[in-house]
Amino acid sequence: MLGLLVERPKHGYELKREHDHRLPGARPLAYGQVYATLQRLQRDGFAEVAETVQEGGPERTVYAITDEGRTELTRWLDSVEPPAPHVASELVSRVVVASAIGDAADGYLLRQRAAHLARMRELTAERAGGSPAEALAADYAIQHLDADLRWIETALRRLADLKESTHA
Amino acid sequence: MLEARALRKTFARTVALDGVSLRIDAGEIVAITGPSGSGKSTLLHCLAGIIRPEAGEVRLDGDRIDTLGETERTDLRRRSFGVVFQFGQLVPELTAAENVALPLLFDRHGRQESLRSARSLLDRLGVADCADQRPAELSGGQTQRIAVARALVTGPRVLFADEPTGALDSLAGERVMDALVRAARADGTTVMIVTHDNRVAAFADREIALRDGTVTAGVTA
Repeated sequence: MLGLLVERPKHGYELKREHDHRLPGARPLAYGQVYATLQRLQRDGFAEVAETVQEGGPERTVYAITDEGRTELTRWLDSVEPPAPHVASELVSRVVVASAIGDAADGYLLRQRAAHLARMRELTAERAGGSPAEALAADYAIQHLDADLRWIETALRRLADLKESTHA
Repeated sequence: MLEARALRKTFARTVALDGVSLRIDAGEIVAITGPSGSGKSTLLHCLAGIIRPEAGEVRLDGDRIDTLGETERTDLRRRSFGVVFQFGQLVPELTAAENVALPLLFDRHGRQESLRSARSLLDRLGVADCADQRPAELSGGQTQRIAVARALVTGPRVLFADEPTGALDSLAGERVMDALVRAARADGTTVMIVTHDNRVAAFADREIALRDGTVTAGVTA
């Protein structure tokens, strides 16, 4: 939210619209969420009311970023995310459980592979006609799906090796 | 349009293709995927008439092409097929435009007309400004787009691409694939891309997955 306010002061509706447009991969913001966040930013001294405007419709409060807000934004931009523990993925759980109970996970893995690739196709097509923000979000999603796909391929080979060594 | 039935090919004692059947319709963009050694390049070479399978059939529009003699297959490749390899394989002494015009010049088209067609295709592939440069002056991504232009300049029925982005970083690879797919769709060219990269496979309409010389997924023959 501070990242959107740093360009110029904006009102709540504008912030929601820009958030949804620039981060198309993210869940759309609810209005309630926008105003709750703005109140929190005000409370923490990161944003303040710049003015109220009325252009035909209802009166709108325009918010601006403060100097503290800029410092906070810089701190956020400079920090790194902890690499997430993806080992808890549903994908892994299903295959681990299937192989533990002696069930063939190959069929599931191949179906999942097809579903992942189908989604990658959609994202690749969207990226070709999309804005730079949409392309960045699509790249992120495509590369995560690709990581899953490479895991699926490794899992298929590992399961085949296991089967061979138990039969040998 | 392009059909393979029960293809078999071995190299020494290694079975590269073990009964592969598939069908590709006109205008389709298909990715042949699989780990290295799964037989995907051998499949492309059989379908493109570069090598002959030991058993099975390859048909283009219903006609057998695997039984054709060397001269007829060379003719067919020149007339109906375009091929792009992993490393553009451009002629280093010629400019990009001359490289692209080469297949037309071999076909006895006039020099000016051939260069005009080459430049117009380079423009469509987004590398018009490279037309007068020699391969040594080009980036890997530009080289591959020029190789795509050379493969498309004769208006082939089928474009075969063997790991066309294998030597490129992901952004350069995306640009090559974007240009290739856009040009092929505009002309209704059928495309067969061999790749081990899922991100490249995602540019295709569908996937045919190979493992140990057999099709494991995506076949609709």
